[in-house]
Amino acid sequence: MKALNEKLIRKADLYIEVNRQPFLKLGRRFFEKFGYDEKKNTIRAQIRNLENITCSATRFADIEDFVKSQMGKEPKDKNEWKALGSEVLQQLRQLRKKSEELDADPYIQMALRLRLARSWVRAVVSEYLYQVARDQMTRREEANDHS
Amino acid sequence: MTILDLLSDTTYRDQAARKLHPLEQSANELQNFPVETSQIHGLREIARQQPASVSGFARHQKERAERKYKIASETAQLKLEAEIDFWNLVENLCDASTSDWSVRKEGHAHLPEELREENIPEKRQGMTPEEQTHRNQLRKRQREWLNRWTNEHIPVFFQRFCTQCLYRRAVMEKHWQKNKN
Repeated sequence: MKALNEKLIRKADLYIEVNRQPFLKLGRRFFEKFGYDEKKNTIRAQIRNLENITCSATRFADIEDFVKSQMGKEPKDKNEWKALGSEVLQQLRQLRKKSEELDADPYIQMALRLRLARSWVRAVVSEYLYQVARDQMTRREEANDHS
Repeated sequence: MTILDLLSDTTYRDQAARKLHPLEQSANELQNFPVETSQIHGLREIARQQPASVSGFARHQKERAERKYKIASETAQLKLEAEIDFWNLVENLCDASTSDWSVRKEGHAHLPEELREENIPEKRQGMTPEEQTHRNQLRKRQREWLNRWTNEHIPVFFQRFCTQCLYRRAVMEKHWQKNKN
């Protein structure tokens, strides 16, 4: 893999930092749509899967394919990905475009896309987790008030 | 990262969407995707396990749809036409001299210098036996190189293509359902 130089790494990280609002909003939408297991206090597997695939993928298109596959699954009772998937794909397209703007070398672009995606998923998932923690806290406070 | 990684991340992803697009338009008119999800899963599995058989599989599916077409009602014929177009596309995506892009054509663009078409001497009258042997060897090596390329790249390309099919099918069905309600 062609290595990214310091300057490009900084540019990629800065891009995520400056543009994080829509990513955080997506994290909140994930919370609204997917929620979490309130009894077991565990987060939804789909969120962990998205995070895992994004962190382990060697090709950016594999992340896009993961989302498309989730959207393409036959709905059992409901398919949350159908509601959120387009938004996720839109943000991934934005990252792909950014990688093309940052460097002309296609191999560097590939490495950049993956770096951008990993920072992106951290922003999305951390906001989702924050919303889960807030919800758990509210529920605990409510339970204490009732007792 | 290899050329396979790069193509999988760029050209194969883009071509999968681009080539499917015209079929989506006719699917929208019919409010029916040309093939079932099980057929798409089957295609992906064959591409993964027997890449050299994809083209033959598509031809077989196309001929099956053509046989059904002959005895089908007018409405069913429209659906079968779309299915025939789909399998035709799959066959052409493997190796087509008529369309602008196929996995094998992509291979031609990446041939090593000495195996490129322009560097293989043309067959002509009066070639010495050595020249003929040299030419035949280059042709053979080119064919082998392209077969290796196809076997390696077909599974990767059809992974993208089948995912795109399943995704677009789901999106379109959701849209049709919404319009019905």
